[in-house]
Amino acid sequence: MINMFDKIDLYKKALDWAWERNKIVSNNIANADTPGYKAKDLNFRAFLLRTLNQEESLELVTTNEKHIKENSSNQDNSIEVLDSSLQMRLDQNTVDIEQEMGKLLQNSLYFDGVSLQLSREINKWKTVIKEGR
Amino acid sequence: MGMFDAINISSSALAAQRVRMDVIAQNIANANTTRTESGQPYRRKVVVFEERKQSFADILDQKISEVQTPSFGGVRVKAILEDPSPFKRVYDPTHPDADQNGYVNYPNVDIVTEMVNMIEASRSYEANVTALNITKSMISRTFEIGK
Repeated sequence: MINMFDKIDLYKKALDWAWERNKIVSNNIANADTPGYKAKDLNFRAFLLRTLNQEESLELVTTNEKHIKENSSNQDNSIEVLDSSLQMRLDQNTVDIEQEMGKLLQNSLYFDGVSLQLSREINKWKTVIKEGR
Repeated sequence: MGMFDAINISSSALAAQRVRMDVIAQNIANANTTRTESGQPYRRKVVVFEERKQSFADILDQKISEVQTPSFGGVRVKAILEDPSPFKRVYDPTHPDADQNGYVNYPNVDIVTEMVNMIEASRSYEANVTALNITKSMISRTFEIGK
């Protein structure tokens, strides 16, 4: 039997990620004038891996030894990552305010989208419980 | 995972930018002050920001929660320092604070620099207000889940 809350839990985790990311991007914007501050971001893959149950692995499945294995050592599994693509200013600060505002907007739209889907999922179950009435 | 963490982060930045604005206003106000309490001309003040470290409660929360997420505290004013650059020397023998050669030391305040810094501070303030509003809309969105 399917677990009625499986999908709801998944949406919840996506919302958690967006919520944490909003905090990190807000912190980047707050520290836009702090000398030596390095812009940070949240790694979606690592966050999902750590919040999902251990049996649900995101690793590639290989059935033959000649299959190319996913190089897991190459993957950055830390939740918090430094954004190295940005250019450093003279005061060693890497915050790019335009990029951070863009991220903030993206993240908030993502959050709205996921919470809307979550509402619809809940309403579906409400319909089921009310026997379609 | 505190509900108002992001709001606290943005508001710490608003407070820090306000302090910066206050110091800039002080610099502009004293751009021609040749005599302060110490007897010297006014020295330009500079605000130094620092990333605010998380409190003990934050670290404890983080260790208790099952998912190890980074925790942030925003920004704070580390110090208000004096600009050590030399004073502006102006030849004005009629000035009461002139030395024996007729030169007066004026504060090392450059009005143009202060105005530019002021614009920068107000833009940073605006960016943080936007971040605050986005966090607000995200919180009110969570209240509507299931409606």
